[in-house]
Amino acid sequence: MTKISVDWDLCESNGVCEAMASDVFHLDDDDLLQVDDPIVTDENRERVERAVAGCPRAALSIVED
Amino acid sequence: MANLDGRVAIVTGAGAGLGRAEALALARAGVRVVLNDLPDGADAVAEEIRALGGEVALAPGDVSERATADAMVAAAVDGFGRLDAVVNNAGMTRDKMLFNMTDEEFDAVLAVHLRGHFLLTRNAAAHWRARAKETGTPVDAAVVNTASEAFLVGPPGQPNYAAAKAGIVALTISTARALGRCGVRANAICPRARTAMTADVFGADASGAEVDPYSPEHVAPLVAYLASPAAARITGQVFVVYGGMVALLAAPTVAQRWDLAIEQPDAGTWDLDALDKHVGGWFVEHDPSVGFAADAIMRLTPGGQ
Repeated sequence: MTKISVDWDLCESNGVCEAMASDVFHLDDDDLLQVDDPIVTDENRERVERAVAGCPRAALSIVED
Repeated sequence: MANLDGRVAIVTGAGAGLGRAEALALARAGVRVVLNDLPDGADAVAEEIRALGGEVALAPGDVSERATADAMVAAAVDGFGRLDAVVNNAGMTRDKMLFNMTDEEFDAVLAVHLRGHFLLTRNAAAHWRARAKETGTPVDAAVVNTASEAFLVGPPGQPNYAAAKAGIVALTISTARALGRCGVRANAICPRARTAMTADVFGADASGAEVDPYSPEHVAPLVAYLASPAAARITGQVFVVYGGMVALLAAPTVAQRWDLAIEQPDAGTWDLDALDKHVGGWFVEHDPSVGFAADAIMRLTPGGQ
């Protein structure tokens, strides 16, 4: 299964990923990143790849689980 | 062509990360550098540059304060006898979602980024304009501003930072137009780099690449180039730079337009029903998540598409 991995030591919850894929990522009421569904699908792959490429902290990656 | 020997540049936020890499790249190219950071912050970089045989001066202080801008330009003009380039880099983040953000978090980020860029650029511009008038010939000088893709994307956790960076892009374009006649170029970079600005942690490089794609070392050469006379034709531009990729952004384009004279030739102005029919009707057939945000730019990857 292909999944999204977050390096929580790097993540600063700036929400660039939410801007790229709001169905996958969101910042919660305390400004912390939540991954709503870590599974990468054919449907969300393009948006997830944009989020991974765009993360200014390089905190996101796509991994085979 | 890209000869910078003997020139003088100011780099703000030069104590670490991008600013340090930029100052070192300029110094290696023979530039005498005025380093700014918060007090004591750039001392170690000054030592590094001196160890390379470079000339350096320190002008510490908060870039959002006028006195710091005055001191930086004085260090260049009075200390080294000239000023050729300004690299506005100093910045910091106070990430919060809009509804959690305090007045102070907004003001502090706007002050350091946007006001900081303004104060130093304005001071340098006044100096360059005066020199151009004095000598009757344009100077050969450059401003390199630091924007961010955040201005194109609008990250929900960075309303203050995104707004500041959008302001810096607008300031850059205005600067390029206002100072072109004096011989001053102004460009902005949107770097992707892993630095200490945004958090206390440095990320380890897991990519296995020879130089970490998010290393400031990938950004610094472009900044030195833009500061050099070889970049004489480059002004009013915005570049995305990281991991060996330099991408030039284009102006926004018109996605669609509606003309009253065509749609409703007898009406004096649009009414709400007509707007709903024409403007609203267009959105019925288009993905509402596609807006002004330049999401596609985030797909840019080095060596890729």
